[in-house]
Amino acid sequence: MNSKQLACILLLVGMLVAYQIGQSLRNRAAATAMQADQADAEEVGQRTQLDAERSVLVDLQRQSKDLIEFTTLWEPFFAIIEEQQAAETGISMKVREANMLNISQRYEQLAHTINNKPNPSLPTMVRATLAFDDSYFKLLNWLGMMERIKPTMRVGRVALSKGSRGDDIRMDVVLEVPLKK
Amino acid sequence: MQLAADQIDDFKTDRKDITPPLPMVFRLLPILFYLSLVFLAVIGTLALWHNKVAADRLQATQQRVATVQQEIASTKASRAALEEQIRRSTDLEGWVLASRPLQPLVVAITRSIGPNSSIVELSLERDPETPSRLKLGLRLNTDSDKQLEKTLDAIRDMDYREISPTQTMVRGDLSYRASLVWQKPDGAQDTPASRTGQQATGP
Repeated sequence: MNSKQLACILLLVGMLVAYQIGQSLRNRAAATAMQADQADAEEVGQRTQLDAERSVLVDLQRQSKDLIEFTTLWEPFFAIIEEQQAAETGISMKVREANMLNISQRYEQLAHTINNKPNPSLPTMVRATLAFDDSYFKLLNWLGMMERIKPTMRVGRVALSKGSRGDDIRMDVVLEVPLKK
Repeated sequence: MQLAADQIDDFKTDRKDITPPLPMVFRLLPILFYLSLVFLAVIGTLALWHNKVAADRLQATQQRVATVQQEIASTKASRAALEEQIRRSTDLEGWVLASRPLQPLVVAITRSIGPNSSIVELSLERDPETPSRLKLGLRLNTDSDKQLEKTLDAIRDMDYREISPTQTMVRGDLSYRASLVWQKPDGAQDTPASRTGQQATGP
């Protein structure tokens, strides 16, 4: 191979290298553009997901508005729920203050379920089983007063029957106070 | 022709080319080489410019995607918090609806008893699994069926509806059992104020 031929080959190689470098730069630009296009597509997908999430949130807020407003009124009353000891003391004090003939009182703590499902927000409750024998007016007024001053307490059972003396009646009542823990 | 003595040229015969000439077409090679350099300059510059534009676009898009992802995460967190609040509210509502005061109902029943009748036994008990439902047990000494109708009217006036009633009457001893379900009147809301008789300003 003579020098002229070698020079030609070198020129050809130079052209090829120039072409390859040009192609490489073009490919790199194309790859970056493709990545940018993919990112654009991903952005569209993410925005669609965001719109869906926001729509679900708005629907949920609309559906739960009344429920949350309703329970917001009750929250402060549930916030002061006592522990078992305090709940028992609160009821027994009211029994003593009423100056009624109290035949028996029993307190127990038990799990709270609704429709066979546990209630995680109010998992337990104190159940007070009380029996009185006194006048109708005193007993019913006391029961009404308890329901008024403890609006979150519920009467689980009330039974009236003839009492041991004259016009007196016997009242068996079960009071249930929800506990937070 | 005379030649100067100090001008002595070394006449030589032309040397023959060391290598034979290339064909004429190969003269295009340098031109093509320069064209390829121009091609590289133009295409390279354009490619680098496009690459920069695309990289800027990619970076901007990635930033926007990151922002949108943050918003999605924030929205999901809000939804999770709201769902937790709904769950808790549902639990509290369940208790509230199952704790309606019974004293007014007991008073309404006892007040419905006429002069020729008397209550032998009255019981109201919440269903253990559905506490919003009440089991009514009533034993009356009465001389008329109308007394029971009057008592049931009083119960209905308190917005309770009886379900599955059973009734027996043996020589003036009337026994009545039913389940009672509170029917929420239109627009009525069971609020703390309605139970305590005070403004709802908290306990």
